[in-house]
Amino acid sequence: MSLPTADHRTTTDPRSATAPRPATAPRPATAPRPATAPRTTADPRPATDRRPAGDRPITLERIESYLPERSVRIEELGERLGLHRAQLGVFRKFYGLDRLRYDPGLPLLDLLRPAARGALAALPEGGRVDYLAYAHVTQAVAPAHVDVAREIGDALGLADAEAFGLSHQACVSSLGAIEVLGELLRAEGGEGAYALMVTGEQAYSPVVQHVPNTSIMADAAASCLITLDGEGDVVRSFATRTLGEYAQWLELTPEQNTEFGERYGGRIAEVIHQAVEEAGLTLDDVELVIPHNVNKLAWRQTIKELGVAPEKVFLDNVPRYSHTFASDVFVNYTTLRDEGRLVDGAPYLLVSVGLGATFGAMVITHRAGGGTR
Amino acid sequence: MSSAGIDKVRDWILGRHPERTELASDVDLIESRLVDSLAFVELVYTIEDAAGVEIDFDNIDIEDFQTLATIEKAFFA
Repeated sequence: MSLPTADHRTTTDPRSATAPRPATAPRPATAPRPATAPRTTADPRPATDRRPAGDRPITLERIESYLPERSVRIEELGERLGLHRAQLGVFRKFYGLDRLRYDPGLPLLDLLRPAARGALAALPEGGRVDYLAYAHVTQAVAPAHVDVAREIGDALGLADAEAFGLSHQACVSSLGAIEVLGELLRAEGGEGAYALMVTGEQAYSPVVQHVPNTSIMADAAASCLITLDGEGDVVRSFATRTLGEYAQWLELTPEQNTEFGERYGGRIAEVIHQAVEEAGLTLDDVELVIPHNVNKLAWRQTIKELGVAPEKVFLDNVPRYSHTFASDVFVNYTTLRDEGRLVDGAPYLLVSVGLGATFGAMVITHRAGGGTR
Repeated sequence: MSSAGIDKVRDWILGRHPERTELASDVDLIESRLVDSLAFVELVYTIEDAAGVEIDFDNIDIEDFQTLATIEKAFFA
C-alpha cells in the first residue's frame, strides 16, 4: 500500500493556506514551544515534494529513541538462546552482530516513556495529540488485560487521545503506523491536531529474542510526533508489500525458508524502487538508506541487488544495538541526526522488513529547521 | 580434480536449488544468493562436517566462503 499521492508534481503549496493553530486547545504537560506561524515564504522543497491541496503531507515533527543502558555481548546470551559456537561465530563474523541492549528488569512502560516524552516535547503551544498508536512486532507484549497503548497514553498525560495498538506488519509496523496516523489526521484531524507513534518492546523470551539464522533481537524504543503540513521531515512516499504465504513466521518449512531467502533481496528492492519513484526521485537522489538492523549479510546481498555503493546504507548500529524490533530505523535516524550527519533538504530512505512477511520503504525529506532538530 | 569434501559442499548447495544441475567453482555463492543469509549457518555446518574440523572464526573471512574455489582453498586444501 502506498500513500494516495499519485501526482506529486503539482506546484501547489498546500501549506500556504494553513491557518494559525488555536491557542486555547488543551495541551498536555510538555515543554512549551511557540506556535508556528503559517509559512509565507517560498517553499524550499522541490516541486516533486509538493502535493495537491487536500492531500496534505505527513510531517515528522520530532523523532526520538531510547536504549536501555544495560549492554551485553551476544556470547553472553548464548546459553539463554541455545546458540552454539558456530551459530555465534556466524552472527559475529558474518552478520556483524556484537553487542546489544538487554534489560529484562526494565518495565515495558519505562522503556517506552523516555522516547515518547522526548517526541511529545515538540508539541507546540495550542497543539493537541488526537491519536496515539503503539506499534509492536510481537503480538503479546503484555498480559491480555493490559492495553499498552492506553497505558502509555495515560502515562504521558494523553488521556483524551484515542490510543490503539498496531502490529501485523512486524518490524514494518512503526512505519505503517505513521501512515495510519497520517490518514487519521487527514480524515478527522482539525487545526492543531497531532498524533504520536510509539514503538518499542523487549526480547522477553528466547523465542522472541532469537530469530534462527537471522538475528538476535534487542531492547529499544522510539517515538515520532506527527502532524500534517508541519515543519518537520516530510514523508514523501511509503511503499509496502506483504507476502502472506510466509505468515507462519518461525514455523516455515525449510523449503519456504529457502524460497524466502531467495526472494528477500528482490522484494526489498521492489518496495525501495516503488517508494523512490512515488517520491519523484531516483535511488541516486537518496542521500542515505536508513535500514533495519537485521544483519549485515542480508544487507550485503540487498546492496548487491540494488546496485548501490555499500556506504549508501547505514549499518554502523548493527554491531552496537543489533535488531531492535520496529525501532531500528528511528534509532538509526537519531544516531545520524545526533552525529550531525543528516543533511537539510536531503531525501532519506527508511527501510524495514518484518516476519510474516512485510517489506516497507518510506522516503522522507529531512528539514533541519523542523521539529526533529 | 576437486576433493570429496568440496563435492559434499557442492551437493548441499545443489540440493537446495533443484533447478540447477551444476555449479562452477567460480560462481559467487553469496551475491548470487545460492547461499543466502538464512542458510549461512547450515553452510558452516556442512563445511565442518565435510572437513571434519571446527571452523576457527577468528581466522577466516567472508571472502573464504565466496565461491566453491575459495571454500576449497580455505578448508580442504
